[in-house]
Amino acid sequence: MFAATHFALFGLQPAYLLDRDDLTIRYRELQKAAHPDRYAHAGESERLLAVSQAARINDAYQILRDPVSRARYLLKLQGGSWQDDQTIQDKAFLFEQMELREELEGLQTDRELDALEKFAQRVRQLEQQQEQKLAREFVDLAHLHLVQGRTEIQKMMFFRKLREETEHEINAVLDET
Amino acid sequence: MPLLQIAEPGMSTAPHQHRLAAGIDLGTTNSLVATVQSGSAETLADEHGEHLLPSAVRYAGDGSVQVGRKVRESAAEHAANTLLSVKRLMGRGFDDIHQLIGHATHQFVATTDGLPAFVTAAGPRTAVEASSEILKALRRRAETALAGELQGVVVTVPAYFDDAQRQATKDAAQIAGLTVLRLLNEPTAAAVAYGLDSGEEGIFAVYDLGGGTFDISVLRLARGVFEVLATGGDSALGGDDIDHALALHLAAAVGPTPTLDSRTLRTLLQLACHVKECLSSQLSVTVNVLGKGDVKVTRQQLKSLAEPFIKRTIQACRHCIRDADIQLADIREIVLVGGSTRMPAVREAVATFFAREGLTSIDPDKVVAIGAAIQANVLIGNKSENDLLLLDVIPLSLGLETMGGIVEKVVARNTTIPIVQAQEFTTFVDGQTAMSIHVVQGERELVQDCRSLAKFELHGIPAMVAGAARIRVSFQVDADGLLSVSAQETHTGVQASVQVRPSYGLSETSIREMLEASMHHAQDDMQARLLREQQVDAERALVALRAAMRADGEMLSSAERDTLHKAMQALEQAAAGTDAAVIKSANAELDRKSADFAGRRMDRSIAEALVGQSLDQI
Repeated sequence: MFAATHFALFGLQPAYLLDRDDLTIRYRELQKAAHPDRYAHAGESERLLAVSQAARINDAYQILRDPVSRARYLLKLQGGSWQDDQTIQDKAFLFEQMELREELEGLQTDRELDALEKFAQRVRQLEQQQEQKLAREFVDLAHLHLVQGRTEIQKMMFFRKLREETEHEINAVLDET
Repeated sequence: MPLLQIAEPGMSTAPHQHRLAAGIDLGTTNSLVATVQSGSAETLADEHGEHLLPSAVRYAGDGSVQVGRKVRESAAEHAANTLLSVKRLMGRGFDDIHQLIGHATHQFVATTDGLPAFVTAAGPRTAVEASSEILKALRRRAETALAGELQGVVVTVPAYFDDAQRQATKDAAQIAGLTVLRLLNEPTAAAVAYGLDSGEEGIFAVYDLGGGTFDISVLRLARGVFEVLATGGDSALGGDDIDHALALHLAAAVGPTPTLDSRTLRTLLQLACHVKECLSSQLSVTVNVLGKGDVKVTRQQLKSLAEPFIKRTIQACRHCIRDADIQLADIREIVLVGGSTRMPAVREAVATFFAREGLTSIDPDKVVAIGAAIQANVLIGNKSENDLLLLDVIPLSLGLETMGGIVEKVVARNTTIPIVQAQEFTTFVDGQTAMSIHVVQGERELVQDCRSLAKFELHGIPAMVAGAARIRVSFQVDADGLLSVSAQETHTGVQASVQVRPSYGLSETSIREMLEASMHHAQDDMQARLLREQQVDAERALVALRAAMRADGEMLSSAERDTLHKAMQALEQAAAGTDAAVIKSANAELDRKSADFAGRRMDRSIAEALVGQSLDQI
């Protein structure tokens, strides 16, 4: 199984926009063919092969179904570079993030569930808006601007991290009650 | 009396002979074995009609071993030699035991592998050995009922078991002489039992509170595929904890308690368990405590005692739902599993949190074994292949120790298994030829707060300047959720040797010794058994390859076909003989020669898997 890309493995053309339900159906069909459970009574090398094939399908599915990892994967396919520690140049964006973080810190001190939930809701909306920007950037792969594309992914990751921390905080407050 | 097997009219028994397979629920309090007969999965009873085998093992001074109900009933009289709830110690180190309640009744020594062993009249015994005795008892039960040797079993484990706990379970099965087809997560097994029963689709949650472990899993069910979205829990939280709290409450009610000796504690725990069970059906119960006086316990009192533990389970449910990235309202049904879900307080808490009553139409004690039996029947090849596929996840993140005792995550929790992940490392000083790697499991940032799984030493790295070598370490988690590691220097292709030292596990040597000792004790002939195993393996390989050649023979050139035929003949001849080693090597040879064919077949089936889908796309 030497499908050149994760998309090819799923019988798809490389594209940012995809139907997640369709992807899941394809994923299940692939696993039905490759999963080690299908080879439980086969020879040893066949069982080992099944483990590695099923693992690749899992890995590819995980990358494709998530917008951030999918965009990052497409960026690399288009020849862009990705390093986890690259910085963002957009000062206005960074300032906005700083303000949001400060707000969350304040909420962390107050530990009020309602206020945290409201904040989480707002962050979710911001994340969705950013996802739309990401989609606009990646929809036309032939004309993808590599640096701009990378920046939109980074911004998306900022919002996601903020949302995850907020949700974590909500859970912590709920655990106390 | 063993039952005769009668084939349906017109149904030939060969070549698709029904293979004997079973599902085993190796529980903290009780264990069960189930099998699929005439299309339906049922748990098997002992000669007294009992389905539940109490997970109680007694080692006597004369070397005899007893398992089951009688052992548990007389636990207090023989406290030192009676091992209960050994599941709690599976995969645990000597230093862990004082944190785990329920074993205050025992003394321990450390084995040569550094594992805690109970001091018994028969000598030191580990949790793995005691578990293997439970498994042997279930194996005898199944083999008597089915009138034949089991060819494979599925053994269930709590979803939240870490790698060491899973490995310990597999070791126990190996010592019991069982062929493990798969380790299956308990909540997933329960979902299989329900899912196939109802044929429903959608998102399900499984709340599994047993004697010593708690699991919560969220699964998505669609067209025979069970996809675990997230799992969570606590592998040291269960009904035992509630018994313990209640036992202390009872003791305190009859006066100031002196330090409890092991026999008194055992008596109190049994009494507590009895009170707890009574309060599932009545509102209050009065019992005599240690002959010191009568104590009345109400359901409300039990509820308050149990509340801290129940609360922890609900917190885990909330976290799991978040991890699954779903809303509470998306959950279609909540399935209740495990004896502890009989407690009204547990049911109320679950119903309140999930805003619906839990499903209990399949006996919560039996549902896991039933699901395991269904999966065993599929894996052994008795059932057509397309109706059931389980996609499970790894419950806890895997990571590596880096500078300063910080954990670097390599595999995130809730990643679908199997998993293959590689990470590159380099050398720190010039000419460095060896490297040590510490693998841990858990969610915390510091190594000391995570579970140590193993330490690896890589040798044979070519001497280069610091930072020049590229060591690629590959982590593989198989469908049992078990980790293996390999390493390679990528510039030179030198395969570095990996020495595995499991932090909390048995060495290969110990397992072999235990296996031999148990064979010896059972007056079983080790050689005969090994020969049988090799013959079964050979037969299995030949049947599979013949079927493959019938289906896809046109993929082979005539030269390739000749090579395979010769290797098959060689294996047939070897299997007719009596030398296990010769059969094994002939089987390995056939495996090697057919590997390329197997690869091509798999590529084709993967390519064909999407044919229908691709048409939709066009």
